[in-house]
Amino acid sequence: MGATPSDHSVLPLLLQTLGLIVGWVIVHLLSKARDIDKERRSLISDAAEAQMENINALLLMSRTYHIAAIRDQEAELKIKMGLQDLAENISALNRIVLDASSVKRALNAIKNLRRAITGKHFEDEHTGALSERDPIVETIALEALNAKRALLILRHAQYRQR
Amino acid sequence: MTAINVSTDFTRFPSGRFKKNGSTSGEAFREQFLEKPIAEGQKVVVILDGTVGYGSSFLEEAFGGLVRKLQMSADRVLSLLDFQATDSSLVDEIKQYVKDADTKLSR
Repeated sequence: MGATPSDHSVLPLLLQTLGLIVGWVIVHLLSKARDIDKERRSLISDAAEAQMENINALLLMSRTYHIAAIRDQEAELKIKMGLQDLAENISALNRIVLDASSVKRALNAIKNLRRAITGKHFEDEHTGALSERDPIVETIALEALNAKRALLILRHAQYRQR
Repeated sequence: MTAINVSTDFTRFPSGRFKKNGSTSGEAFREQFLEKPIAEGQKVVVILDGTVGYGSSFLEEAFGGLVRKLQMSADRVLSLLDFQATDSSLVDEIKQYVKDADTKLSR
């Protein structure tokens, strides 16, 4: 059975319509993927920023704790909870980052910060005020800086050209 | 194999290094829950989640202290310990303390 003249006129129209639909679907999917990626990067960036603020607060709290003459058990609890929150919030980013190594690096920096703050002269070992130039206080400041740097790298890694 | 949940079996508020300063210290935890099974070569799973946080001095005394007290190598201690923790940096830190204690012991 041969094609009728009307079939010849409908076929190009059908193909053209199909092409438009396929094109629209591709553009829509690409645009959706771009939006999701943008949202993901923004989420990571905001989270990193928030954790940098938390590090600043921990730095201040732990410095006050170590240079105080009297042991402050409430501050100890707040510091430990703050450090735990910090590590868990950063760990949670593992689910959405593309580069897991930057999260690992940040967690390692948090581990070093925890050691610096709670490894010595903490809880039952708080035996009086440390001077502001004590190596413990200086190491805490250094590790806080390293932790913030690691978070900055984590944030910037999301915008690297792939 | 023994499973120890720090928050339910010991305390939600682990704190301090030595038991003379408190019953929730690293030394108290080690003596109460770790020394016997590890000395007998039993596997122990330590569940770290659920507490309000750990200080490094608690972790060092609880786990690094195993090497000092039992005079065991870090490899042997670590082969008998397993951990469950949302925060993987805690596990890294503990392993580091066990290795450091071994290094200091063998000097």
